[in-house]
Amino acid sequence: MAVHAYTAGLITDVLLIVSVIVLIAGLWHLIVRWGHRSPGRFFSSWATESFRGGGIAFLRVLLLDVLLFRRIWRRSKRRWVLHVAMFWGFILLGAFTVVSLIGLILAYLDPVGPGQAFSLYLAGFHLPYDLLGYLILVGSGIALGRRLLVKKVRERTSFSDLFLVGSVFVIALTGMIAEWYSGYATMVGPVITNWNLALEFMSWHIYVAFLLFVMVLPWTKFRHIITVPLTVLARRGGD
Amino acid sequence: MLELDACTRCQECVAACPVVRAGIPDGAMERIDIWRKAGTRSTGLIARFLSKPRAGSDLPALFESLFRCTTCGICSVVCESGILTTPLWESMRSAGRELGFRHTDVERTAAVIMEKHNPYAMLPSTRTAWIPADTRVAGSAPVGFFAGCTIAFRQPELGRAALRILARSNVPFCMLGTDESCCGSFLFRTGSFEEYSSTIRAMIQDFQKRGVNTVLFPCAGCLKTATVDWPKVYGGPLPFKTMPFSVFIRDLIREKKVRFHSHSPRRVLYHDPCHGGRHLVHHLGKEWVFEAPREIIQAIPGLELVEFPENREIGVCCGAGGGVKTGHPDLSQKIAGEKIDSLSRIGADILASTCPFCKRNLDDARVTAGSAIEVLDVIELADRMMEPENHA
Repeated sequence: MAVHAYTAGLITDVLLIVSVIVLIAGLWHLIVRWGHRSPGRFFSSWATESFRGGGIAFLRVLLLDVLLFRRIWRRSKRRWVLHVAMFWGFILLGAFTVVSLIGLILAYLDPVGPGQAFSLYLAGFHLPYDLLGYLILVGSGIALGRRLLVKKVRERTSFSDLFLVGSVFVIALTGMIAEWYSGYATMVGPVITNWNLALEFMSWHIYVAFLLFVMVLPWTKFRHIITVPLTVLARRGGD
Repeated sequence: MLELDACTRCQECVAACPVVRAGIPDGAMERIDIWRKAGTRSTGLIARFLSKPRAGSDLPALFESLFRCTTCGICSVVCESGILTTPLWESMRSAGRELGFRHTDVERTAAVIMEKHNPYAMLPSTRTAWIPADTRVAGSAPVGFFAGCTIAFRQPELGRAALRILARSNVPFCMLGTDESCCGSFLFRTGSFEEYSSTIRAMIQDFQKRGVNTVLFPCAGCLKTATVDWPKVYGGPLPFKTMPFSVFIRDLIREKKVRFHSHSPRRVLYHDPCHGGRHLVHHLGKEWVFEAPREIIQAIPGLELVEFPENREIGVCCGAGGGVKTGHPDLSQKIAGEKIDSLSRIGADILASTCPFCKRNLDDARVTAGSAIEVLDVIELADRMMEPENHA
């Protein structure tokens, strides 16, 4: 997998720290705003609304409406397929990335023992990792194209809409280019292997992931990743 | 604020909005965006650091757009984030009034309701003039009947049909008489109900004193207001159940207490009123709000029920609600006109609904379009088709 600890230089460290600080500050700011300057009020009113129907109803909404997008399923099967593919693609890709980072750290700490075994085991995940990457790339590409090319949609598209889909597309694209140059990419193989370019693009992938996603999450339309589940739960799925 | 931040700008609300379909470039998505930005200007970081909230130049356009909204709630049904838009629009209208954004026609109608207790500027003492003299109305009974202003002052024939059905059922019922006032629907929809609260509380207490445990509503607007809005004013659950009149008829049919004539075949297209349909589905259930009127139509020999392509929860508004018929009558008629135009594609002899306000607006549009279709309330339809020997 093209996630390489070598790229974690000073810039990455600084970006990581700054991004997390800005992210936490932003999340806190949102919570304060939602609670009308009282985070406690927000949490208590959200919990009251979300659990009004009981724990089972809460879990049902969590499963059917938040994780499986029942509201979208009822409206359009096509949109549902796109949503599920993008959402679960993103979640699984993130999970794979975290797991592979852990594997690399283990391999670094123990190059010949369990660390190496774990690293080899992870190599078997190249196919799903790449497929998910393509899925995000194609999905965000379609979304971007729709926002730019379909007249009716474009007329009501704002900068914040373009920023969101554009960011996802750029993050996915830099990651996939790095993967292609690494020589391990499924369907591309070692044909265009170039480790310098792979590391270069992986660095950019990490920078843009911090700058265009982590850091700005609470301050841009990306906040819907948090607000939609919270709203759907508080509205008990809208039912 | 959480709901405002949950809008993903997916444009589903825009595609479904009857006002947008009528060519007005409003949209729930844009309204949410402007209101969220206004909130950010007041509570955001800059405002907090400078202690200086800034008014927005986009607010007047926002409130203009709000008064063009029929508050039909289709945007809420299609919203991927589950944002409850109808209460949001009503609270925004209320906030707009406090900020000084007032719609002249809406304010005028609100003032009339405050003074005359009906939106038609009729004398309150004439409210019961539509009730036939031989009607047996009890002073107190477990069943109450709330006619509403449109029946009392504009569509008495619909009210009389309901009274005839009540008489056939031999169920004793009581009414508030001249003490019945406007339910307050217009005031709730336009954000100006506060001053009217005491009148609503008085009606609730009056029903309670008469020993009522179920109030029948032949009007979808009154039913929605009593079910959803009155508890807010009352401060808790009402001391009686609110029931659509169509459910009462359905139960009479199920219990075989009424019988119908056989008729020559006619196709009946059912229009789901927003107030009596999707606004109440989570309060009263699908069986009551969507299926009961259909069950009545299907129970009448000779009638064939036909449907709009978009029906039940995603039924398209007639354009009359939310104060639009008062504030923007042309827009209201344009939306209704599009529904009437679609009838030729569906093919029906009767357009039926359970809302006198929908009936009025659709009938106005029918006249304008020169359509031969008959617009009726399901109550009138049932009354007309019932066997004459059952008449009291």
